[in-house]
Amino acid sequence: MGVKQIEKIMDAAKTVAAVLLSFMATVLLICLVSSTPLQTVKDFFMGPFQTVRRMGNIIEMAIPICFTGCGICIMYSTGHINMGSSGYFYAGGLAASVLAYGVLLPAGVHPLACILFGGVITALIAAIPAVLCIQWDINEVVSSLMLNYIWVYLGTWILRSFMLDPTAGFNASKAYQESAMLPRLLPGTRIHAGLLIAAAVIVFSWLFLKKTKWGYQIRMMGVNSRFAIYSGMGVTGILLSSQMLGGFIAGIGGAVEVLGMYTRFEWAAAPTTGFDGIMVAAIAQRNPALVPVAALFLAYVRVGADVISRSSDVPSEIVSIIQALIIMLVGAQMFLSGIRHRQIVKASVRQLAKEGK
Amino acid sequence: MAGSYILEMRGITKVYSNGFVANKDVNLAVREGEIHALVGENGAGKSTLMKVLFGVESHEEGDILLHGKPVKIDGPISAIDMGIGMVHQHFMLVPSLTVAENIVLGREPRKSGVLVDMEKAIADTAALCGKYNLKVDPAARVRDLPVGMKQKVEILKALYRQAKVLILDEPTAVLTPQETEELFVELKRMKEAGHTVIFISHKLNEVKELCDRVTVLRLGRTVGTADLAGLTEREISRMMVGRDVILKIEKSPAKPGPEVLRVRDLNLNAGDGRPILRNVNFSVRMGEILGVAGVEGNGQRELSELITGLLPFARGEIAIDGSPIRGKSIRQIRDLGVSHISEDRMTYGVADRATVSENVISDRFGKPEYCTRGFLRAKEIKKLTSQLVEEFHIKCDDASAPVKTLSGGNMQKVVAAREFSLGPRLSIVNQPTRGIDVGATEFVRNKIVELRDAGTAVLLISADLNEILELSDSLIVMHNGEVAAYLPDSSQVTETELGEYMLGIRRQGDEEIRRVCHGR
Repeated sequence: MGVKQIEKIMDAAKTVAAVLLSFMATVLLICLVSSTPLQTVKDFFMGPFQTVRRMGNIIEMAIPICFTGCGICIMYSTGHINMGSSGYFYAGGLAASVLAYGVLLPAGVHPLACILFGGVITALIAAIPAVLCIQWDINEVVSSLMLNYIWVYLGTWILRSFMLDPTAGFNASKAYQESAMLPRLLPGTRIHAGLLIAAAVIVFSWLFLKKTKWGYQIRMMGVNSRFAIYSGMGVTGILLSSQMLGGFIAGIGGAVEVLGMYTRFEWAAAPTTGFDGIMVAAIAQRNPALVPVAALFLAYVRVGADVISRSSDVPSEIVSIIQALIIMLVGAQMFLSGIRHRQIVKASVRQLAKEGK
Repeated sequence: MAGSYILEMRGITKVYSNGFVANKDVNLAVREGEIHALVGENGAGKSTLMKVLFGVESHEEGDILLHGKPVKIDGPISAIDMGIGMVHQHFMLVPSLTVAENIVLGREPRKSGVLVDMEKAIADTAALCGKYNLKVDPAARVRDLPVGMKQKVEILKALYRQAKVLILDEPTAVLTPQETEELFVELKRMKEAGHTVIFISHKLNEVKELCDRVTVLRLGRTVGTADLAGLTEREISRMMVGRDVILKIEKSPAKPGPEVLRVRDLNLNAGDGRPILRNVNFSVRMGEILGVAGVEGNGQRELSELITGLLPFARGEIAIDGSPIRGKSIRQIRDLGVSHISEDRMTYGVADRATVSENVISDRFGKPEYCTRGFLRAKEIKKLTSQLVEEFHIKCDDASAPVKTLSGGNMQKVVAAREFSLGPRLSIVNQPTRGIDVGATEFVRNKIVELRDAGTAVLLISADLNEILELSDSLIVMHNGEVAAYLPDSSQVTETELGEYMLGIRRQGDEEIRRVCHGR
């Protein structure tokens, strides 16, 4: 077994071990907190699969995370860390909403127009941290994180000043046109046509990153930006376009979410979907093909937590602890690195022996 | 008799996390008060062994004994506490601090327990300089010192920390012949003062002149230890290489064609206004190798980065086949047929986590052969990679192996495969064989000659005098950002002559230097 295979296996083993360890911690936590631990543990793990509705919940919850996850994969592949996905998701939803109640279009065209509009507006917004970084060398982590506040509060102002429906009884926009909303796919669940768009986006992101010359340049820049410069790639252009594309994808995610799950725009704050995308992209190691797996896993854990919060005495906050544990363990570079190093040492020594040296 | 050894390393095995076995069952035994040479080709595992000894790298198997007692060295601090000092190949000094400040760093003499007593630091430094007769100004800033001086500061730093065993990792690689002689006098004086020195080198004449005993490493293993008194250079070299070779390049006389690279009145200043290049003029013609000799840091790096577009343009003119490169992007310069082997392989030459394939296509992925409608043509790229892997003898699992799993020599072959395979008009080759094994060195050098014979104009920058003299057809010497000499026939040049130009002891007249422009 060569070094390459060992690294691959150890990467997979690291993820599996991280998940198992965090599940063990979950069981332990439940046992400590709950008066009916066995039932609660069973509900947590099995509950999400017990009704069609709950299984539907998993998929509904995973759809938007797939968008932000793929967007983040593309943005992070440049090696630049953009923390703006939560603002982008919000902005995409808000922009799409304007068209969703404000104009009348044929049924098939209307949602697509809304989604594209949401995506384009978000792409423009996502360009800002990249431009700040290129022009004035402003750290993207900070600028994108701070800009989230600006987009959400600017959005809230726009909602209250221009979009508000006084008859709604709470802070929400006018109701969307019937023609703008995404159709449901499965009766008994809220799974909507956004699922198909998500699938298309995942395939596109994977092809784009792994198979096209643009994706190649993005990845090379991420591995070693000076190598990219030396090879003659225009890194500022790559940075700008990748951030805009990532923003576009996160933005259409927000648009798909509002058109598939809501009847009016009513977000008072940015949903967690943006940051979920960062988590999912980290677990998927920036590979869009693994994003749906990670997103479904996250949604499964969340639905399980929902189930026990309703059926037992364990609070659903438990799930935040599990999430944190998984992310930390998967993200930890040195986790299991001792085993990995020993395996590589053994393999290399064997290799030497085989070559008869 | 183990008792007479101050230091022993027994059965040391070190495997890096990429699977590279750098040391396998290596033994080293050093007697007190001797100068012990550790020799071997690049990549033989000398530096790794010393990093293990100094606690920078941990080893998988084996024991280290100091004065016959097993010790555990888990970091440089514990190594220093045990009286082991190391002078790294790449100096570990703070450029903005003074010599004295660098020397006492971390062990500063204190005034009333808290404040740093600078006067005492300077006095201590001066005393130390006097004791070992090392002439350095304690108040000078390190960044203003020439390389040879910096090395003295490193040695003083180790002595200040009470080092009994001093490791010098290829100390002469950055020195001129004259500075080397000075260093040898100093090292012999240290030996008389009771210090033990481990001297790493692959220059056998130096080893023979300076050292008492020698341990030879080859491919990560110990070949043997012997008294130098009874050995000839030829015998050591046979131990090192395993066969009778002294690198000789088969090379026919150059047949220079028309001018390809034209550099005129090139000037560059550093951010602080210090001049880096001053009025540099030269030409490189088709089918010739022009060598650039010089102590590192005399403007060579900047010169190659200016020509390839990595540095923004300075005052003067650079033209390739008559078209000026001012205002051109790196892509456009590469499209003029310029290829570039950077001296800094890991920073510019490769993307280490990317695959061999991804590394060899970085300059051509957009060409129609490898890309249609934005999609990379996997089959063509694979074909190209296997062709290059074969042609350049790159040892790797397959084209999808990450480059970081390759040895230094094979990494450099990946770089050479990319930079040499597009039939460049001009190739800027900077330190092409630094830190790579003998086989790869020989291979890369022969490829450079092949490239020249195919009509490429080659600008070869190297700190390795042997390489410069062997490979170049003619050469220029850089000193202090200036061209100090033009030597039209490399085969007529001696190392001493070259050393004098490199040090700035001699300088040709402007008329003589101007000949490198070939009347244009």
